[in-house]
Amino acid sequence: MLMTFALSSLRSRGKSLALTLLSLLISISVLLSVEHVRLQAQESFNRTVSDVDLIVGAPSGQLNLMLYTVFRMGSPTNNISYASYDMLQQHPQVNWAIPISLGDAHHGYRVLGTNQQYFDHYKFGNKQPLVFSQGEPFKGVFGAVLGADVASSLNYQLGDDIVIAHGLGAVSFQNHDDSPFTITGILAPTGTPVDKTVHVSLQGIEAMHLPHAQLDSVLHQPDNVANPAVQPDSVTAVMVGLTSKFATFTLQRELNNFENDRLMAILPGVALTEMWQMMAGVENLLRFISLLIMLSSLFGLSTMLLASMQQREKEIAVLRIIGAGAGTIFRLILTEALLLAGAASIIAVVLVSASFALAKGWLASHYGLFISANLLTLHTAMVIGAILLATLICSLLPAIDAYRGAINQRL
Amino acid sequence: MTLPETKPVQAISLNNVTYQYPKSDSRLSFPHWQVAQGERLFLYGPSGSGKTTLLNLLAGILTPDTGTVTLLEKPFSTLSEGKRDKFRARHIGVVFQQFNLVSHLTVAQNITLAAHFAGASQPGREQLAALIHALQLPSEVLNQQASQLSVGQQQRVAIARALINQPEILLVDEPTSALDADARDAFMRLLTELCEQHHTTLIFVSHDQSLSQYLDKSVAISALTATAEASSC
Repeated sequence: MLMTFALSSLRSRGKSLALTLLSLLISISVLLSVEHVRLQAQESFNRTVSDVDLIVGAPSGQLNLMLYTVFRMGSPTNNISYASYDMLQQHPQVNWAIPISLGDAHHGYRVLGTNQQYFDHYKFGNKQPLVFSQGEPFKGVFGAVLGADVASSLNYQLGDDIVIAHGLGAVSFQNHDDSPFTITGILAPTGTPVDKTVHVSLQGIEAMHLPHAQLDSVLHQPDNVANPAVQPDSVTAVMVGLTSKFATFTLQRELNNFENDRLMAILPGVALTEMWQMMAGVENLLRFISLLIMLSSLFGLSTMLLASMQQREKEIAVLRIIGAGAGTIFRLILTEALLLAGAASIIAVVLVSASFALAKGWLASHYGLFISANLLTLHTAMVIGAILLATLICSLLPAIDAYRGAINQRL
Repeated sequence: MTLPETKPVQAISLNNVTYQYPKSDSRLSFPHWQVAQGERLFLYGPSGSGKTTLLNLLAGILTPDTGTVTLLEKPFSTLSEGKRDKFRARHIGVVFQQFNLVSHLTVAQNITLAAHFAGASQPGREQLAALIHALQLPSEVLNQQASQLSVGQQQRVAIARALINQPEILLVDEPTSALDADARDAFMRLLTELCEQHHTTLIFVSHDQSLSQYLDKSVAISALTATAEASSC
């Protein structure tokens, strides 16, 4: 009965109700979006790399190394020698080592030079290996394997020839026109930067930087990866998997003190944590702002209820005279506020889910953010719970007002 | 008329009741007043004579500073607020001058709400229709919003609302002041008829003495408060 009454009472206040609902809807949507993006971004970052024990590169900062090897962002500083990669591969405590060579791009997508090890050992998410949706890893010098996004957005098929530009821009003036690569495989989507990467062989990277004359000889025997002209002498970084996790710190120290090359070994987990600590400031600022927006619209709700109290004096008198206690009047106001906030929350969840479902592709391709459109998580439930609690607190004032009015009401 | 074998029930009994208006010096006092069950009483007096305050005391919206209000031979003014609310819902019906209904609810919902607060079972559609019919209203009004009705219709619905729980006491405060002469006559006939049928004690308050013809007995409010006025002077 209380519910029917509250619903009917809300319906009777058309415009001010609609505006309050809208204001609540916007603020709840902002709050939910911020919270969702925050969690999803963290999850998306954390799922980028899995099962890699150490990342080895030239000494710089661990964040820098992390950014360009895992997230394919920023520019690599220095390379390490190929001999160091050999050393790592043969190291007794190393299970596998993936070489990574960066610095080129194809229509704005990063080109990554690597070898078979990448397809065998690279893992993302919860130790999920890479899977080919079509084709297979490259064998010769000029094979290329595309990430799912690259293939779909540039509309490439197996067997297509692509040209790789030097440098990282989307538009390059120095295309390596002479050395076209053939697509041998396309990877299944991973929801990580792998989807936006063009993978080629280390030899391919060398080949496209060769002078014209030398390149010709390589092009004549494209399957000869042992061709001395295309042997890499350096790589950008190496991802390492160890035989035993216990060796991580020993090997890290050993590599950092390596005499033949200047190396730096980092632990991806530690670097990721450091990265999130950096983001924490921005993140908290966003949360703070969205909380303020939320608070102001809750005050709006409170104001609307308070303002309606004067018009409702007569209604409250009627309720009192037919035997409604002052407590019932109090609960009635709270019920109205909760109904309004509850309705706004439900619409907000639908709205935000729909927006993320629509913006998913764009966020992934422009910002590398892989945000799920599924908002129905425990965290969302907790946020909405907190909103309803705040609504309850904010509507205490009008409810107390109504309660007092009810007690002092005359016929 | 022969007396019934049992002593007639006192519907209303006021004993040494005083009420001090907040933020003013004036004080109202009802030394002794009794109304028997089934009586239909016309209470008249000019504005400001304390009619409405008396009704508030009888309905339990106000409590006396001293003395006791006893309704249906049960202590009323000394009950806790919640119990007074319940008692009011079950045993007292009230009709105001105007604005008796919740404007955004339908007529049916308005009447059902009164039953709800009395803890009674929800009246069925037939019961509502019968009630509306008895008040000479078309049955379509049940589904109309209260605000869509004319004032005369609203007042009649107010009677229906007040009578749904078959209260022993009906308090009515200037219910016809917004009605024209014809409507007033129809309203008064209906009201007294229904009260007679249900053996309801009716306290009808107005400044318009011409209405006293519809009721059994007239009492001037000054007669009830006389002692107090004298003592306060």
